[in-house]
Amino acid sequence: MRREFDFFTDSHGRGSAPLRVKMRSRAYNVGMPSGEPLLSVQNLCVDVDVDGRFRPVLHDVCCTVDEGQIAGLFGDSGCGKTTLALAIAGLLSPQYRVRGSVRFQGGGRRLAFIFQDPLLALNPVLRVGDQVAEVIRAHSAGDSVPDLLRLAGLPPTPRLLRAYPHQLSGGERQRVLLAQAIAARPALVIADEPFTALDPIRVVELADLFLSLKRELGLSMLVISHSAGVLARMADRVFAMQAGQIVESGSAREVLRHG
Amino acid sequence: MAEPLLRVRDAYKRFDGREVLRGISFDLECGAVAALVGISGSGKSTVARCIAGFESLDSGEILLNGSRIAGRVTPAIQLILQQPAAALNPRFTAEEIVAEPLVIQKRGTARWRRERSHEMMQRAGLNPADSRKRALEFSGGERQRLAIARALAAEPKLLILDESFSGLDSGVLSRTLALIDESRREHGTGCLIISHDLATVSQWAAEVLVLDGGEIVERGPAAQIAAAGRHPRTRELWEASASLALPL
Repeated sequence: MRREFDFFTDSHGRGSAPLRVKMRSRAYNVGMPSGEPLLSVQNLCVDVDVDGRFRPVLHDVCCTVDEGQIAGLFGDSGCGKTTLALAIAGLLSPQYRVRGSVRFQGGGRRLAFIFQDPLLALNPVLRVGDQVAEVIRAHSAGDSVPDLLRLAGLPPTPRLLRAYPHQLSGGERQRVLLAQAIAARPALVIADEPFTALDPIRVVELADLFLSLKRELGLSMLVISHSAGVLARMADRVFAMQAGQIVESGSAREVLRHG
Repeated sequence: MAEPLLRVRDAYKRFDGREVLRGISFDLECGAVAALVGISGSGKSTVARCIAGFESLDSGEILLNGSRIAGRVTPAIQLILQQPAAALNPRFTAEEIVAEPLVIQKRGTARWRRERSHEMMQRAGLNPADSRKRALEFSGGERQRLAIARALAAEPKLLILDESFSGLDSGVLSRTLALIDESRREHGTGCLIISHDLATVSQWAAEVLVLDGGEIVERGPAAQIAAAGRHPRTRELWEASASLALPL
């Protein structure tokens, strides 16, 4: 399953969602003025078709992610965090109507998505080694499977390489998804609730791993979480959502002290 | 002396030659809340699955109100799994999902079951107007609430929550806990909670059991374990949890 979306070649033609994505060409990005955010979402509105009637899901959402930054998206369940992430990636199904603009300037690099439920996202009948190799082949990426697994904090033992997803712990599955996500060295990784169901020790390890990938690979991330503590640990900037709107943004300390 | 609601005695379980449970023993009284905590792979979910009857023990026994139940599924025990998307039938509407245990138990009329499912959805913080939506049309947190509404609709004697709170934000979590508390008061439902959210565990459970490598390495009142746990694994867990608290 491909998990990366080339915004320069993909016109968001999946389904009939009339998302108007303003993209700059790769060539244009050479010598791109500094200070432009890597991802800029402006006045994004999403409605969903329920039995022929459109119900608003996101209303006038504006947010940005800067190069080399970890941005956090925080909010209650059902407030629209995942819908926003899917809209950014152009993955909403045709029953959604999307308006507004999503501008991604990866300078030729792509956007990768880590889905909420690793058991659903990983192929259940492929061994870990094979499914990481599949992503490397699909993107003609330069790393080997063991290299990628090591970058994701997983020792590439024979047991791991031969394991099927259901034989791994929740933390291991998240890291396999991460290894796949960073295979093509994307400019931005969107991670939807990657800490859910991990024990506190694994949460701290994964948050610190994200921070080290940001430092070492220059990876930018948009991390969705309803856990204020983990975002406070790692996010440079946090956007708080409520009922389909961004209600606050700023440093983790400013936004999250309100709970 | 009265039998406890749940009694687990010397439970052993092995998968692929690997011992996953190594002599687990504990009791749970009617209406009580106990928590199983530990790192991933420590055996918590296996304990839950054995009690719910999805797995049988290699040796040892599990008793509900004094009767052996190991290896047998009973509606008196409801297990809410950690992956709500995988646990709910994607073809059913929310209303059908919540009412299904009542259908299996052949309880009430179709109309009564529909009303009961709407009531349980409302009590779980879901809008009954969404009762015709299917599981995958709900958000992750809403699916968790749907699973909880479904489990409580059956008025179980024992509720096992295996990471069932992981998709819930704080507001919905407190509402969900209040809903479960209601069931404990009304029906004496005992509750076994498996959670990585140690703050919630410390507040809500009377007793905490720390599992490591398939063994209970420490047990005691939640406040005592949180403040003065002695086993290295207990300390490690609570220290990691404290480091995720807001530094404000």
